[in-house]
Parts: sequence; C-alpha cells; structure tokens
Amino acid sequence: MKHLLITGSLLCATGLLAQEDMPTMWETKLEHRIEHTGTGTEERGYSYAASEKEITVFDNKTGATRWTGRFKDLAPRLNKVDELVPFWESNVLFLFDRKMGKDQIACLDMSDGRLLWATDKYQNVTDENVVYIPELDGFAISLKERLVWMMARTGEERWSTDKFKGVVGQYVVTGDNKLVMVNFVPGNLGALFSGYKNQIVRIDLTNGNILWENTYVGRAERKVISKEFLYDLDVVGDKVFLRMNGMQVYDLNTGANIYTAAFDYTPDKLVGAPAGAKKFGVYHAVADPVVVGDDLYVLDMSNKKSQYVKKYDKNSGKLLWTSPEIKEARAIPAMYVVGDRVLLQIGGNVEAQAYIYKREPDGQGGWRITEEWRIWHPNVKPNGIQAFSTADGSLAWESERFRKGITNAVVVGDQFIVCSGKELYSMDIATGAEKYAVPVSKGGLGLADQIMVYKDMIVVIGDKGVSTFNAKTGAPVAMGKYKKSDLEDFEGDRMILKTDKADIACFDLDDCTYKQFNARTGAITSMSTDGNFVYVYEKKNVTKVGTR
Amino acid sequence: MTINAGSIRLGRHSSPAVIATALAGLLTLASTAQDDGQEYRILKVGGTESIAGYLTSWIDVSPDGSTVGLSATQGFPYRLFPASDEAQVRTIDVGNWYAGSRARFSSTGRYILLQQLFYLDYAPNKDRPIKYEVVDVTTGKAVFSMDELYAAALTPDETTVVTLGKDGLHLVDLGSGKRRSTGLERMGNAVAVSTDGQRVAVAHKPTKAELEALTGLRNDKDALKNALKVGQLVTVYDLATLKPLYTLNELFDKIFRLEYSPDGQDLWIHAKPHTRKGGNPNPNQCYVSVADARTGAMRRTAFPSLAQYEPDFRISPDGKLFAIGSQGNKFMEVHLYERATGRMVDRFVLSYRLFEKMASKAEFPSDGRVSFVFLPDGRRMLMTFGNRLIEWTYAP
Repeated sequence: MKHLLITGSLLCATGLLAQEDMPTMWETKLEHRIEHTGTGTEERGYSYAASEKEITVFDNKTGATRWTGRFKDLAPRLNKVDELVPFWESNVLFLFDRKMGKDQIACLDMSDGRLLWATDKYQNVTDENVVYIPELDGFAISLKERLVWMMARTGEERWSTDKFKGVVGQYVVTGDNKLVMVNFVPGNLGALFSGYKNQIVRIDLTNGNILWENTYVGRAERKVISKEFLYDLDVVGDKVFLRMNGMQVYDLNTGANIYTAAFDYTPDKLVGAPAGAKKFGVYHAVADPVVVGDDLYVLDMSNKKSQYVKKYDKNSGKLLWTSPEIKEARAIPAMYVVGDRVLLQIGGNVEAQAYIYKREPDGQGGWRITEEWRIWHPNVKPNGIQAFSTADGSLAWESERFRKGITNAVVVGDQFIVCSGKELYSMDIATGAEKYAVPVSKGGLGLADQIMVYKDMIVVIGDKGVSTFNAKTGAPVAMGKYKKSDLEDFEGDRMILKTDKADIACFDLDDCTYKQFNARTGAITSMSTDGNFVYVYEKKNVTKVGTR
Repeated sequence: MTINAGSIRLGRHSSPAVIATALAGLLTLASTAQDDGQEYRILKVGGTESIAGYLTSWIDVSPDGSTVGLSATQGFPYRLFPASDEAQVRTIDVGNWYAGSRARFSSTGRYILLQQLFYLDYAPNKDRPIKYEVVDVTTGKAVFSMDELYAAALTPDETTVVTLGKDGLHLVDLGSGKRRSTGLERMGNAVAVSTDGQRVAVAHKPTKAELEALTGLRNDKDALKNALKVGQLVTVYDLATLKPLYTLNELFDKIFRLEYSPDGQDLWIHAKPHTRKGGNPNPNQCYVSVADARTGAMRRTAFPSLAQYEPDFRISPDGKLFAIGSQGNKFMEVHLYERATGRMVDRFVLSYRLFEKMASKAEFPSDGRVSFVFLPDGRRMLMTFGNRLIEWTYAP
C-alpha cells in the first residue's frame, strides 16, 4: 500500500509539472468572420467556416483554402445565409435565406462549391424540417401541409403526402425503399402543424404511399442545443421497437401495436431554468430501458410518489415482475443489469441544456445582447443506490452511503463503482459489500463532476483537472491539475477540458499529463474524430493544434 | 404526329388479337401478383368447393386423426368426413346454431362439445352467458344441453361436464344428468380440464390479497387498483378433492378461453384487454399466454392475434408448431409460430385470388372467422374460409 501511495504521489507530481502548449499544425486567417463552422473528418480532408455572406472550405491537412466565395455569387438568389446546415453524408450544404414569405433555399456541393439547385418553393423551412436519408440520397422536407420527398443532388420533387404531419424524426430503412419513421413537433414550430398527432408510419419512399400508420405514447423530442434525438427506433425481425418513455413495440408488417411498456414522464422542476433561457430542457433523468437477451427492464417513473423497475418479456411484452417501490426518486439516471442484479443509481448528474438570450442596457442608451448555448450537468437529489434480483424483482441490497451526493456510477467487472463527489466507492454487485472507499477531491482538483472507465482505471473528472484510480484497488494512478473547467470532449486516450473563457487542455489519460491552448473567449473548438487534433475557430482565424 | 403514328401501328393487328394479348398480359400479371408461394388447394367437401353454400364456423379432427368435423351456421347440419376422402360426407342434425358453434371432439371422439357463437357482441368487456351442448357422434343425439353458462369442458374420461355459470363451478354427470355443486362459487369465464383428468383450471376475478401476492404487481398501487377492476387470475384445483393447488403467478386481461394442450405440457390462456384499458390502439389485439400444465409456472412465450373473433389456436402433431388465427389489413390469416420460442415461421393469408369468382361463378361469403386443424401427416392443415375449406401444405 505504501509503495502504491509513493508511486501515486510521484505520478501526481509529474502531472502537476506537465503544462506544455499544444503544437500548432497550421493557422489560417480567413477573409471573413466565422459564424458557422463544420469540421470534416480527417479522412474526408476538408472543413468549412462561414459568415452570413461568405464561406471558405479549407484543407484539413494544410489549412489551405479549397474554395471560397460570397453566397450571392455561389447561389445568385441568396444575399445572405440565416442558416447553414451541412449534410456530410450527401456532401451538400443547405443554405437558408429568410425573406418574409419568400424564403430561398439553395444547395451547394460541399467539395467544390458548385450550386446543385435552388428554390423558393418551400417556406418556413428550418434545419429541423429537413432530414437527409442517405440510403436513398434524398431529403424529406416537412412543410405545414405536407411532407415532400426530394432528391438530394438534383432538387427534384418526387412526391408529397399530406398524411404525415410534423417533422420526420428517427427512421429506419427496412429494405425495398420502405421506411419506418416517427414524427415530432420541434419546440419552436409547434403552431405550424395543425392537426398534429403522434404518428409512427411505414412509408414507401418510391411513391409516398403510407403502408401503415399508428400512434405512439409520449413526446418525441430533440435536445434543445445539441439536437440529439431523445428516442430510438429499431427494427429487429418483424418488430419495430420504439424506445421513448420506455418501449413501444409494433408489428413491422401490419403496424399493429404488439405491446407498450411506456410511461409518461416529465422531468418537472428537477432543475431550474437559468434566467433568460428561451429554450430549456433536462435530459437523462430516467435511464433508458435495458435489454438483456429476451428480457426488457424498464423504469416506471409515471407516478411522482413511487417509482418501479419492471421486467418484461421483450418479444411478447408480458410483464414478468414489478420491483418494490422506489419511493420519491426524482431522477434515476442510470440502470445496469449485471449478472442477476438490476442496479439503480438514484439521483446524481442529469443533463441540462439551455439557449439563453439576454438584452441588457449598455449604459449608453443602447442594448447589449448576449446569447449563450449552455450544456451542463446539474446534480439532482435525493441520492441512493439500490439493487434488485433479476429473478423476481425483490430488493437485493441498498446503500445508505450516498445520501449526501452521487455524481454517477459505472460497472467494472463484478464491481459497482460510484462517486459521491468527494469519494470513490466500489461495491460488490452481488451483495453490496464495500470493497474500497478512496477520496478523490484532494490535491486541488475540487469535487468530482463525473467518473468514466478508461482501460483498467477510473477517470475522475474534477472541477479543476483529471485524476485516475486503479479500478480494482482504488489506488491513485495519476493526477493533472488544470483551471476550473468542464469536460468538452474525449476520444481514445485524449480528453479535452474547456474553461468558460475557451482555454482548453488536452489530457493524456494514461498519465494525466496535459497540453494546453489558450484560445480567445468565445472560440469554438472541435476535436477530430481520431482524437489527434483540435480545430479552434476564433473570429477570422482557424487553428489546428495537435493533441499529442 | 405521334397520335397518327400510334394509329398506324395499331392498325396492323386485328382487334381480337390485341384484346387477347391484353387479356393474356393481365392474366399473367394477376397470376404472378397473387402468387404468395404457398401450396394450397380448395377441398371439394361432398363434391363441391362451396360446401352447399353455407358458412362453416368451426373445424376439428377426431383424436385418432381419421375424421374431420365441420360445424356450420344457420342450423345447417354438422358434417363429418374421413380425413382421407372429403367426398364421403355424413351429417348430424345438431339443432339451430344461428351464428354457428365451436365444436370440439371429446378425448376419444365419442362426443362433440358445442359452444354457441355470435356474429356480434355489443358488450365485449362484459360476461355473456351462452349455450353449451354435448352430442353423441354415433347417434347424433344431444346428451347434455345447458344455457346461461360462461364455460364448459368435458373430462377426459367422457363421464362429466364441468360447467362454469353464475352460481360457480358445477359437475354434471353425463350418464345420469345429475348436477353437483363443487362449492367453488366464484364466477369465472373460462374452464379447462387437464389431459390426465386430475386438475381443473378456472379463470376468475381476483381478490386484493391474491393480487398482492403476484410478483408482477407487488405493491404498485395503481396497478393493483386497475387489476382489481379489469384483471383476472387462473386458479388450478384438484378435480377429485376440489382443493386449490396453485394460482398462476400472472395477472391476465379478461380470459376468454382456457385449454390444456393435447400433449399435456401446457395450459393455454387466451385473454383480451379491456377495450378501454388503453395502451393498444387495435381493439382486436389479444394474446394466448402459456403456463406449465403441471407446475403452473408461466412460460415466456405468448402468441398474439388480431382476429376480430375469438381466435382458434392449436399445435402441430409433433408439438413443435403453434398456430393461431389472426387478421391482417384486409384478410384473415393463420400464423404459424415455433412453439418453444414464439418466433413466427410462416403465415397463410386467406385472400381471394383474382378472377377465381369469375371462373367458378360461385359465391364465396365469409364471416371473418377462421378455424383450422393440423392433419396427422405433419404437413397439411385444413382451414375454414367462409363456405370453403382450404388445405394448406405448410411443410411441402
């Protein structure tokens, strides 16, 4: 143990000393400001940066400009661009110019800037109304009255239907040009779709025929900032599985609802909206259903006073058992099924997203407008850990340890590792017996925000840095202290933390050393998909820095 | 210019040739479009495809597999014919069953048990007492008849009819006609006698204490409240002592039928959710759940159906397949599942083939009900389809 501590201390000291700058691969100054960015993968080889009037597509390797131009030259009907949406899989850029009832849409080939098509036929279209379906190389555009199917490269309208209301959400291509899809109403367009109802349909994309139609329970949503779907659609054999507030299962051939194990749940008042929030959402307050073989485990949070875990037969929807009450749990963000135990993390970090718009007097008779797109992870109480038997749903064990706090929990082998913010606990999955408890907030890293698994280690992301611990023994492995920051991204052995002022540090998770880059306040950073580089977009500059 | 050119080309062929070509094309298209790859034929029962014009309501095959029995609507006779020769029909007058009857052979084939059917049920969520009758196959005489019953079953020794009515469970001796109360007065909707004659399964409304003992509900108060209103349970009794052996550890929707599998392995529970219970937009959706016939432990498989009427369900002679009647978008269907896994392996759509009415000039009415039997060869199945009988070779 003594040996471990010495090793740990030495590593920590190493971590504290290592503060190199991230190497600059290249830096490019553009002719225009940067308001829209899109970073292509290293394999693709190019990315773009655009203002509302100009765009530049640059080479990822050298930073050299591939092509650049003014939108009014590239697409003559466009003077400016209000929204720019890349569809990387089809290699096209959708450009929207809003002109009070004469909206213009244009589509550019991303690789060379060639205008593919332009139209003023469709009004009130935003990025949320357009879905690209790569399997058929076309766009489904949701309009007020109808759904239009258009070929991506030519802009040719193939068909339209008025039987599908709302916007195309998740979809699954089922072969023979047929698609199962779910509709939803984007928050800012609620009033647009009159007669909207929750629809799940199977449609023939060659002619727009609706093969079957059914309804679903709940509200299909996307996160307000990151736009990820909050539900999943999957086709397995002849069944369609819709994961939304639980599970809803339909017959692929007829559309009949085979069973429903879904519960309406609204995370009301879990987290207060920040002042000036125009869009706000709380996510991951209820763990997704877990499927193990033919078993389906679902959290029933529909009742505010008592909550339950329910086990169903995945194929028939037969209810196999209900757990005892989990009283007054406001959030159950994680559920794991390991061996013969169902493990629940009650309370802890949830995800909140907000678009904040503030208009304040600037003291000179004018107004100062600030916009913020914020994603953070507030903590929800009460906290606790409970384990149930997979055989009959009876309570196997529970821990009183975490009354004061939980960040999150992970499963490593036969251990359930839970972080309270100050300490890391390991418990035996079968019995709940404590294997170790180690402090994680010492050494100046502040309270832990989140834990993750990396190789055989637990990575603790603190308020001011990163530390790692041996998952089996709890022994500290390494530590790297940085400024107050949040997790921005991670890929492989690299993890980026970012401060409020857009400074970034890239940690090597093997030894917690890091390299840093001090960007300008408000800079946008984007990590490459291989984790080797970070693209930093600041005012007119694009800088590519290395993470190694 | 284009129109003229077209006229010239058409003018080169005679009108009958053009019409014949078009018809041939249409017929080819129709025949290929309607071909779903299934091997089937329409049986000529008593020498006719349309079985004398009336609707068959139920089909069964005798336990030895030698005789097929067909019950019919509108008081037409019960028809029997050898499984190997559908032309040799014998009839029995079984009285006036307006919408037909579900007719099943007893364990040796000596009797048939007939259960009244309805075309429409305006109160699908409520109990509806109906008529049951036991007919001697040899003499054609009714040896038992009773109205106002919710369910009835014949014991395997063919001596007793177990009845379930408003006054509970009774045993009726077929020989003497004597009716004996079992003391089990809880009202139920379905009853079944095990193939060894030792147990009787009864469906009934639950008590709060019974519901609280179910692991499916535990202390979920909302679920308990709902279950007390619309749920049902199945209790299995020892038929000799009439003592309860166990209650199945599952809450069911309204149970319409209980049946022990012919091989004595399973107890099948056919239930349908309350139409206003929600959660399922298709009001026809129902399930056959499966329990171990000996222990009462629930098996994981369940077989769904969208049939408009109470569906027929059976297992294949080797016990590996489970078939259930269902309803597709337009037509009735028979779904074949692997009995052990619940995986669907095939289905037969009972649709009209294009031009078949035109070819035979016959009427093919149907009441939206399908009944079927597996034939003992393990390859074929007979299905009722209105006034016709279809033989499907499901294992060609």
